[in-house]
Amino acid sequence: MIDGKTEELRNISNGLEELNYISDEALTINLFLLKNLRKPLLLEGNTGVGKTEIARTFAKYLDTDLIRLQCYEGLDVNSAVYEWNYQKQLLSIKIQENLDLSIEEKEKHIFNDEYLLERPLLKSIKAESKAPVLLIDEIDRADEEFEALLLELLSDFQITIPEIGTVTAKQQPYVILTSNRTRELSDALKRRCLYHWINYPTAEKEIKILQKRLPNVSLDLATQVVNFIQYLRDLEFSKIPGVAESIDWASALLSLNQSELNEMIVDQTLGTFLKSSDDINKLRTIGINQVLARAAGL
Amino acid sequence: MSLLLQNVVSFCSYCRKAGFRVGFQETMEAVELVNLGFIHNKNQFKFALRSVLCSSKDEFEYFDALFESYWKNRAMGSYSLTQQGGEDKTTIKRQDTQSTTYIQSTILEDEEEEGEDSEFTSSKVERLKKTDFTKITEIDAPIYNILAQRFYAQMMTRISRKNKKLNHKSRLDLRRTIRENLKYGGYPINLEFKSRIKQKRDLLIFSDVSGSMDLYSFHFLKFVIHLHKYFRRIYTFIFSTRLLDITELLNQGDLKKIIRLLQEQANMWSSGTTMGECLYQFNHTHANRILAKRPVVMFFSDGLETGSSELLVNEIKSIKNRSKKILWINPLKGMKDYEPITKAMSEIVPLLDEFRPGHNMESLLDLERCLNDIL
Repeated sequence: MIDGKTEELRNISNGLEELNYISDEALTINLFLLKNLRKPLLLEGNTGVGKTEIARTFAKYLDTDLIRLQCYEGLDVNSAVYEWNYQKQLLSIKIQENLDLSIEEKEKHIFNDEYLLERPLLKSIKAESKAPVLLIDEIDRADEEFEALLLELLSDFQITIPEIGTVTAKQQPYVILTSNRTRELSDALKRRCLYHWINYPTAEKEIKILQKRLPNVSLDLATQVVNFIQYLRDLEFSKIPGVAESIDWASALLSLNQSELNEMIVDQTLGTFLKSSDDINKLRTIGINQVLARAAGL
Repeated sequence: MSLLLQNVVSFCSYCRKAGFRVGFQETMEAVELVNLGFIHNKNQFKFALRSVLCSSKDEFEYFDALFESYWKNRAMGSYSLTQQGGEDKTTIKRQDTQSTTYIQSTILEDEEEEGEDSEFTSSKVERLKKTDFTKITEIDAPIYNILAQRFYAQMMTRISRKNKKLNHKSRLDLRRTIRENLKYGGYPINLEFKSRIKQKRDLLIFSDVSGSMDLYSFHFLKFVIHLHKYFRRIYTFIFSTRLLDITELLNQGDLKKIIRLLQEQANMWSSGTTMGECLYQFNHTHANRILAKRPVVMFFSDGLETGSSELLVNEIKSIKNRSKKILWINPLKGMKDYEPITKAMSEIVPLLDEFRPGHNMESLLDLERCLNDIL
């Protein structure tokens, strides 16, 4: 007997795969819960494991809009929630100067939706027909103040604008937050979220991902690339190559018409997966041939 | 009240006792998972519970073991469901007062149990704060670690908040506003602000890990990990007879790796400290990159130098020239009659902006005022 839940889980998993995203059971369940409990999902994991990609793919799967808010140090209400269009307001005041309107009427006019610049968070709760996916990317980069601001949104899905009033979500958005763990997030925020830690994929899964993303890549090359990268991940580099790097590297090799790895070509394309001179030197000291041989043994 | 529901609630309480932040809300959600039909498949149930009950990577990794050990001896959800058939269709809504009260009372009981537990009495906390790092007993160690974690985190939060307040854009810059708006005929359409620029300083930390500093540096680095967690632009080096950049490791917050590294260091280079040579190496390989922004430099060392003290003083002078401030934290200064009389130390002290003790948790917490000005 297949109940609704099992079917939906299967649908999500297949749906994502059709959109070139290979999910696993735990992640699928998280997306299911995000969809059914309507609780924000906090994704943590190292760089390049596909955190942002999940949100993108999930939005496509639901056939809805993706609204993205990239966080940075100093992000504030004006760039995250809303801002008044001052220029337009001033011009409007100027135009109305000679009209016979009371001050209250004029004021009412300029604090109108027309003069409101919607930023991602406000946009996400004003969606009319279909609930959008709201991606709050790299929340750990934003300040704690901004986290506090998010709390109102995440628990009640409403935003208060003093001049207009409280805007409540017509369609509660699906919220996905990502973090690289460059700092601890506040407990209050964490408690409002489902939590999922994304690890580097297994070799098998990573090969699958490569083949999905780059249909032209041969199984042989994909396996070699993945084994090499997987081996590198254990070597404690300062910037560990993620899945994004495997994909970059494989597509670089493809465009160079390489069908297999050898020392020279690895050396020439190092820059696609190692992003610091220390790491490159470290790999050269260990010896590319050495790594190739060991990776082949995986 | 079904057996299954009771089991889920008591599993939540089990997690809470294991240190997870699981309250009423989380418990209600765990119960809702049952409604969503997550009990027929053990793995799915585990994953779903994990995502509801965990809130950090550590908890995430620990959860599987917790789940297995709890459900091992208990009827798994699906089992009890199939046994009891249709009558056990637990539909629990938030309004369901019976289950709500049940969950609340469980949480209350847990809290009461915790209250009886007198591990965190204030007198004990005060005593531990003042205990020298080298004199922490094994019995106290676990509590000590929890306390240190808690206090350091609070301190970092306070520092980071104060700092944010100061950095607000605040005053209107009239001159620039008028100038900027000339093109609109002088109407102030775009407002320009003066931002109060408080330059954030980088912080450069040198920690001595030689044999004589072994335990102190271990506890000090735990403190430094918190700095790395909350602030960017902190560089940390350890030295004994060799200099090592551990900034990246600390950024990753991997204490285990760091301890392993320290142990290796201790085994291989525990004989003596050649701080002068290490700083010489720093000045030649890293200084251009790190000292360019005139950071605040913090040394954590007892200043017992086995190399040339002349070289050491010279290297410190050259660092001083390119830094904003030099702090020296010396664990020995916590001792009653300590005087910096070793040759190296007596020459260094006049170069320092601050010279502080660092032998216990309290002395490190006292650094808050200094750090406030820097970070």
